[in-house]
Amino acid sequence: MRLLSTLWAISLLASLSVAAAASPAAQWSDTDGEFLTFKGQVLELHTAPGSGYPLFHAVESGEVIRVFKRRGDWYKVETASGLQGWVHRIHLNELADKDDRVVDFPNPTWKDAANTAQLGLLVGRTAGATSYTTYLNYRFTTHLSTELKYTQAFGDFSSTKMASLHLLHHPFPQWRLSPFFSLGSGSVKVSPNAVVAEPEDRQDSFIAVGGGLMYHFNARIDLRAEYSKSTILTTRESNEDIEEWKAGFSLLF
Amino acid sequence: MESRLQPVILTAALLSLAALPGSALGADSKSDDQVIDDIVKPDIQRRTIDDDKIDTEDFELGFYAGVMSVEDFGSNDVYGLRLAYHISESMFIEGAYGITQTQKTTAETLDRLVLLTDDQRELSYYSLNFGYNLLPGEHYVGRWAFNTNFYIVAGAGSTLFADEEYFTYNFGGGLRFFATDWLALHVDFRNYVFTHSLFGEDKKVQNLESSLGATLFF
Repeated sequence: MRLLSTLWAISLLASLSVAAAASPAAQWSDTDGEFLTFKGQVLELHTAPGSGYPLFHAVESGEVIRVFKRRGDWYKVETASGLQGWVHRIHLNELADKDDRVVDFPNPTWKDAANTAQLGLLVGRTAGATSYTTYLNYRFTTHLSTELKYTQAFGDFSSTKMASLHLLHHPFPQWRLSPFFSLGSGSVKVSPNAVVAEPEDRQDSFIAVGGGLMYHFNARIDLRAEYSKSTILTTRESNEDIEEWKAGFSLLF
Repeated sequence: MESRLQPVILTAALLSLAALPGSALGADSKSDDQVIDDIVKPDIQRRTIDDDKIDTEDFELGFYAGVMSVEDFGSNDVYGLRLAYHISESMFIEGAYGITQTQKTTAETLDRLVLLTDDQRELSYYSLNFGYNLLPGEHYVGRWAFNTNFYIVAGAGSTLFADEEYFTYNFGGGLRFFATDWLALHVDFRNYVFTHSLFGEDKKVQNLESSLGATLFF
């Protein structure tokens, strides 16, 4: 009788331990990111970051998910069972951390832009020829920034390359459509095309004044239109003026 | 008997009723205060996601190899690099640099003319482009499903050919095939258009390039 009861106790223990092992254990593939509890009704996961990609799983209320990657407005999450999918920021409004604090996934507007450095591209006309300009802008106060510019113009008879450094003043940085004024100096190289009789490169320095408008499109992009007038300080008898009209955009960092 | 008892019972009932609501009302007002306290007192705390714990993948860098048909100068192997920044799920900007070694023109082969030196035969280009992910979708390989998107691109840049630089615009499209989230394979078709005057007169040429490539997201 005692033997029977001992056997029974052992079998009971064994079944309990089996039950414990069968209870759902978390299978996170990594520990990076934030572990958050979903408090809403249903959170749908897409296979890739884009609303055009199919839904393949729904996270239920009370489940813990790991948020660990972002591409644009899409966040990649992992469920406790190891499934990985993508959710748009606007659907991540019902997640709480382990202290039961609701976690916000903010959508930065143009006012939240870091706006310390910009990398931009402008297309336009330089002295009547199609040109483009790449620039790197660094804003060291709210009103002042410095800019490194490289312009290449493709004329019918010559190609022009200009490298310059500018100082920009932004009188109304808080406006969404914000004007600016610039003053700069640099070096210009004019290379006549081979068909022209004297294929000799000319290199001179120049000074430039200009102004324009910046439009803060969103937290990552600024649009810009500008005009500038440069005077080339030649070694010949008269100086030469270059007028430039340009428009383009920049990425904010 | 009945008529005498009735007022007593009714009075007792009335008294007990009068007493009951009084006590009930007292208890209710207390719990109402608690309810209002619970509503007014903010018990939800908020915080912002810790961006440092989230890995951001907005850039895409890769190489490509293919064939570029340079008008009058044969079809030639082309190699290049591409860097893209994804602005949103559908828009991206891209910079590309490619290089190819062109062949002799038909006139040079038949008439044994020498138009360009070997160094001048090298054609290189750079371009800055705007791209749009037109058709997101899935492709099935066996039992696996892969994410893809078909995109269109257009942009402008410069071509360096025969010691001259030419303003060049390009347009085309491609298919991005995600092997994993961070590794994509590309099939790409572009047309580079510029005007040169190597044969004496201005000539607008279109140069078709088809390529295969691989990119990493970081």
